[in-house]
Amino acid sequence: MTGSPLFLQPYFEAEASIDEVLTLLEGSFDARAWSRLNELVDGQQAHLQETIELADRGDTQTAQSLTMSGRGKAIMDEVRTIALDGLNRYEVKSVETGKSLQNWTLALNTLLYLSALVVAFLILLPAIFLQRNIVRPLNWLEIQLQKFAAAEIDKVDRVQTRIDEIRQFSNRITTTAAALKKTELDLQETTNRSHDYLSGIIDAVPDALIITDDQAHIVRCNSDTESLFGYSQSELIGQPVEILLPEDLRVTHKALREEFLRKPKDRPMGSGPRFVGLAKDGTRLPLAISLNLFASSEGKQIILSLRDVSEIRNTQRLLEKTVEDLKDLETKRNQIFGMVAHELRTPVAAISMMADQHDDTEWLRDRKSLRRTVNDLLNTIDDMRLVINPDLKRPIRSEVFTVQELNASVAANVASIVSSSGVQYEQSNAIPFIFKEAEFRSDTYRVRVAITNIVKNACLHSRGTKVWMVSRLYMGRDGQQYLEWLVKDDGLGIPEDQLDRLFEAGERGDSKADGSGLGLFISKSWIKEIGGEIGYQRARGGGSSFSIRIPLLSSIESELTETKETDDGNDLLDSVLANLNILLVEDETMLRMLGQKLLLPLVHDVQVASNGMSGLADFDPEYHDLLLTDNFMPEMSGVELISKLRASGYSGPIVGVTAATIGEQSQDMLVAGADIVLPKPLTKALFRQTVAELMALGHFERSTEDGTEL
Amino acid sequence: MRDLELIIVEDDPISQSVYLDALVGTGCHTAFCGSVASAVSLSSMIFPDVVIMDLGLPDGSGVEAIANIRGTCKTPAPYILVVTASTNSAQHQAALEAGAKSIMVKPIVEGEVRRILAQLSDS
Repeated sequence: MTGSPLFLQPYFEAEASIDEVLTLLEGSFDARAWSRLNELVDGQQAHLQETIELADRGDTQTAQSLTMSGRGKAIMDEVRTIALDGLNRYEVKSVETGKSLQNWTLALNTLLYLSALVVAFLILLPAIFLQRNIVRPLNWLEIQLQKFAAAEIDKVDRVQTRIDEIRQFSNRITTTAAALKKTELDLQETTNRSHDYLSGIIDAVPDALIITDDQAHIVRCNSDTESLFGYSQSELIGQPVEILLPEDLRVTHKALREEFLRKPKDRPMGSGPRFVGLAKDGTRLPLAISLNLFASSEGKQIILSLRDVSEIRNTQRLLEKTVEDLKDLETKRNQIFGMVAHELRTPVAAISMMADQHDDTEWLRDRKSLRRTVNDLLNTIDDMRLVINPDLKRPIRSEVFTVQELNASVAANVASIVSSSGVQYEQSNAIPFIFKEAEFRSDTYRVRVAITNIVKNACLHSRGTKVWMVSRLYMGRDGQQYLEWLVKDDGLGIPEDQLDRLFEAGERGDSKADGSGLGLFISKSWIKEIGGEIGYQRARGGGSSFSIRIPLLSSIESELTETKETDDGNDLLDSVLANLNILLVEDETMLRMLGQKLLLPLVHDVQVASNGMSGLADFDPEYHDLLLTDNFMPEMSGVELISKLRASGYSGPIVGVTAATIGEQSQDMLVAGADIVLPKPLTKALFRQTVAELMALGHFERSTEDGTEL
Repeated sequence: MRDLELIIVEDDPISQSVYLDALVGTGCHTAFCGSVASAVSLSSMIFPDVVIMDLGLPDGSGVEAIANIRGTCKTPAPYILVVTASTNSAQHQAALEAGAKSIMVKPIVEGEVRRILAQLSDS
C-alpha cells in the first residue's frame, strides 16, 4: 500500500474499528441486520480496494473523485446506524434482564425475610437451614448477576466508544471530501479566470478576430467582428465563415481555405490577396486578412484576423493622385526650365559670338571679363539642366583665372550671408607675390562654388563668431603644387560621430539653418573630378577647418598645349574647310548674321535661310556640303527639315545647332537624321572640331578630293 | 611624416621664389606674407608648425612678430627659423630671446631649409 494517498487514511482506521464492533456485537443483531452489516462491510472493502487500486495506478484524480462521491461516507453512516441500533437493542435487553433479575431477587429476599421471621419465631432451625442452603446461594447468584450486568455495561461502553470513533472517522472523511471539493472549486475558478482573460484579449485586439474549426465553422469571435460585420456573436457562432463573404466569392474561398489547410503557413496581414467581406446589411468591405493555424484541445483551429482597409485604400488613391499631380508639376517645371534656358541661351550665344568676333573693337576692351560673365551665364544654364537631369555629369571646363579675382568673387558671393549671419569674415591671399597676378587655368566655376559653399556653411552653421578664408599653396609630396583655400571658423567644430558622413549627400548635421545638404557632397565630387580634393580637420585653436585644393596649372602652359593641338595635323581639315559650302538655317536674325560672319573666314561659302521651309527650298545637295540648322523656327522646324531632307535621299552631313540643351529636343534632331547636334553658341573652335568629327564619320571625302585636285 | 603648416614671412618676391623651389615635394601647407601685421594675423588663425621669418620687414622688425607669435601660438609652439641678410649679432640675439629657434644668414640655403622641414615633419 505504498504511496496510498492521505485521504484514504480514515478508511483504514475505520475498518479496524468496524471489525472490532462486529466481533463485540456478534449475536446482538437480528439475522437481517447482521447480513446487511456484512454486506456493507464487503461493499466498503470493495470501494476502498477500488480507490486504492486507482491511487496505485497513479490516477489520483479519479481516486479523489471516488472518495468525494460520498459512497464511502454513505456506507460508514449506514454501518453506524445499524451498529447503534444493534447496540441499543442489546443494551435494552441486558438492562431488562438485569432489572427483572433484581426484581426477582428483591421479591425472593422479601419472601425469605418474611419466611425467616415466621421461621425465626416458629421454626428457627429450619430457617437457619434455609438461610444457609438457599439464601447464600441466592446471594451468590445475585452477585454473579450483578457482575454479569457490570460486564454487559462495560461491553456497551466499549461499543459506544468504538461507535464514537466511527463517527469521528466519518467526520474526517466528510472534512477530506469538503477539502477536495474546495480544491475543485478553486480549480474551476482559475479556469474561469483564464477564460475571462482570454476573452478579454480577444476582445481587446484592434482587429476583427474570428476563430473557426477546421471545417471553417465559427467557434469564437470578438466584438470588433460584431461591429465590422453587423452580426451579433450568437448569430455568427456555428456558422460557416463564408457567411461573411459575398456570394460570388464563396466558392473560391472554400477552395482557398482547403488549400490553406493542406499547406498551412502563417500569412501575415497585407501579404495575401485582398479580400472583400460582406456585412449583414450587404455592404462590401475591403479587408486585409491574416491567417494562423493552431492546434488546440478542441482540434485544429484557424485564427482569422481581419482589418477594414477602406480608409487605407482611400488614402492610397489620394496618394496616387498626389504623385500624379507632382509628376505633372515636375513636367511643367522642366518645361519652364527648358524655356528659360532656351530664352537665356539665345541672347547669351549672341553676346558670346560678338565677343569672339569683335576682339579689336574699342567697346570690347575688357573682353576678358565679358567672356567670363558669358561663361558664368552658360554655366548657370547648364546647371539648370543638371537640376532636371542629375545623372548628367557636369562637363569640365578650363577657364583662365587669377586667385585675386577668384577670391574677390567669393567675397562678393558670400557678402550677404556674412552680413545677415553677423559673423566676422576675414579673407587673405597668402600665395607668393609672383602668383598674385598670375593667370591659372581650371574650372573656376566649380572652385568658386565649392569655396563659397564652405564659407557659407561656416557662417551659418558653425555657431562661431569668426570665419577666415586664406588662399595659399600646398607643396604636394608628389612634386605637384596645389592652390589651396583654407576656410576656418572658431565655432563648435563637427562632432566626431558625424565626421564620416560629412560629405555624404543629404547630410546637414544638426544645424537648423536651411540648406539642401547637397552642397558639400556636390562640391567634393566636383573638385575631385578636376584633380583636387576637399578635406576637413578639426582646427587648431578650436572650430572647423576645411581645405579646397586644386592642382596649380599655369594658363600659359595649357594655352600652349592647346595651340599645339590646333596646329597638329590640321592640313587636311584646313583644306576641307576651305572648300566647304554651308547652308545655315536660323530664324534669329542676330544669330544668323553672327553665324555667317563667324563661319565665313573659315569656309568657302556660307548661305543662309530664315526657317525650315526656305531652308528646304534653298538647300542644293549639288552645291551645299553641309547643312547647319536651328530647331525651333517658324513655318518649319529643324527636325522637320532634317526629316524631309533625309526622306528625299540626301545622305550628306547635317548638324543641328540648338539653344534647347535641356530636354529631348537635341535627341529629336538626332532621331530625325542629324549627324551631330551642337549647343549654342557656335564658336570657331567648336565648328572646326565638328567638321573634324564629321570627317571621322566619313563625310567630305568628295570635297577632300576636290581640294587636293585644286 | 606629417604635413606641416608653414608660414613664410618674406617681403622680397625673389626670395619667395627661392623658397618655392626649396619646398617642392615637402608636403607643406604654405602661406606667404610680407609684413609683421599679416604674419601675426595669419599665425593667429593657422597656428603654424613652422614660421620662416625675415627680420627686415616694411612695417617693422621680425623680432616684434616673433614675440607676438610666441605669445599667441602656444600649442603647438611654432618652430621659428629666422632667415636674414643682417649680420648684426645683437639683432640675432634679440630674435633668439624673442623665441626664434635658429638663425640662417642669407643667402637662403635650400638644402638647409629642406633638412629642417624634413626633421620637423618626422618628429
